[in-house]
Amino acid sequence: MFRPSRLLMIIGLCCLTLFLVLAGWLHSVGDLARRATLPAVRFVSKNAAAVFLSRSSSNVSLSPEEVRTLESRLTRLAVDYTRLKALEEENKALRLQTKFLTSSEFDSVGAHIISRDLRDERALLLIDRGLQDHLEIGQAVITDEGIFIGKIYSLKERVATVELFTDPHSRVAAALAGEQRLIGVVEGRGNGAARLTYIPSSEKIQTDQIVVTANTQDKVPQNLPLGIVNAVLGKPTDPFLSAAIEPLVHLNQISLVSVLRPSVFRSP
Amino acid sequence: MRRIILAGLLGALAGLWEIAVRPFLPIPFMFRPLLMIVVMLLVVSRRSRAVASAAAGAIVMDLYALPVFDFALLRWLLLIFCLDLLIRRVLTHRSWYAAVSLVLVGRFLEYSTAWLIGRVSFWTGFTHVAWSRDVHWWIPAIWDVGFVSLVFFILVFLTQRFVTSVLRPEERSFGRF
Repeated sequence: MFRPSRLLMIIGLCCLTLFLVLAGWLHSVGDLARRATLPAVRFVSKNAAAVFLSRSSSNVSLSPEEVRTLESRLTRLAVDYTRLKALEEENKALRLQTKFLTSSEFDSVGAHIISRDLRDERALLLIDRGLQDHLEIGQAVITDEGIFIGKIYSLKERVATVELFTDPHSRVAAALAGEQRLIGVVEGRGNGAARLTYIPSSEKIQTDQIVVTANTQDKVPQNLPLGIVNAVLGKPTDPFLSAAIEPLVHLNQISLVSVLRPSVFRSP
Repeated sequence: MRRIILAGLLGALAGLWEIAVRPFLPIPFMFRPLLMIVVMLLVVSRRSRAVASAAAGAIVMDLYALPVFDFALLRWLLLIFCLDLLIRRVLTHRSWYAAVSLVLVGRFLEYSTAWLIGRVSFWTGFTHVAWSRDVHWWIPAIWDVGFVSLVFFILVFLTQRFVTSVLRPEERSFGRF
């Protein structure tokens, strides 16, 4: 067994380390260790995600009813997409005509997910970008397709934690696609679910409408799609309605994300 | 010394698995190898190597912890101390039952200490994310039992290390009437 002197030494060492951690004096050591180990962690997590996420996505089985629902939704979205594409073309032509200068306020930086915690009560991701990449708490995180998935929750020098919008602590101001005004707040419900709450009962909200981010948060650009209305809940006499929101992407299948940061950090 | 470094590397790899591979695995395969390695090293009486591998794995976990306040290094050193105490005072014989009991107690202690540190830090305001138990907490425990049993029987088969050399009293010929 451990000798009393050795035991005291271990306890003392642990107490000293705990004190140094709490005082924040080990941050630089931690950053140095992260700098040395991050390539290995990134390599391992990238390959694990590539192997296991592709395998699990190929095993998804749907019931005939779910297939029918998804097909009808796809048809409606295809119609919307065609209409939007036509509008986009028209918009491009108009911009060219007026020599409109497009300048986005945001720039994106790609990041790999190196760890994650997707439990019933929590939906967090750990990405390989941090303070050194000019990230800030509250910045929007999107997928490759530009779908909003969450916000930066905490930061370290080389890594950052992303809180997905399905996390029970997450709150995101939302609007309906095509409408500029704030309609409610998307609250995470855990287990991959979210709910749009505080919808004034005067609002006309229907299933299959796309929910996007609203223009009320400094670090989150507006019109980033985040989910689709699955069901509208509440009676017409209620002051507020709520709606079940289904994410547009499988949040447990993501391995690459982009963080939107102010465009001043855009590399030349 | 070289073997201690190797044990440390093995522990670091186990820690890497727990933070970077395990979250992407399908639920039935979400095993956690660090405790299995530590327990097997304790069972074969390699205490210093067990400490080295636990410390290395815990440091990797601490470096890439999600914002739940955790101090894996402290927890794992405490765990080693408790398991060592147990193996020296209670589970003194080296049997399959002892190895399995040890790994199950270890898993229970691991969850308990994580819960304690997580709760205390949440109550004291160090973090806003409370520690929560994994819904499938029993899956690593099943893997623990399976892995420890397999390695134990392989060790018995290959090294004859834990085979009893003394017959039980009722089987001794001179004891029979």
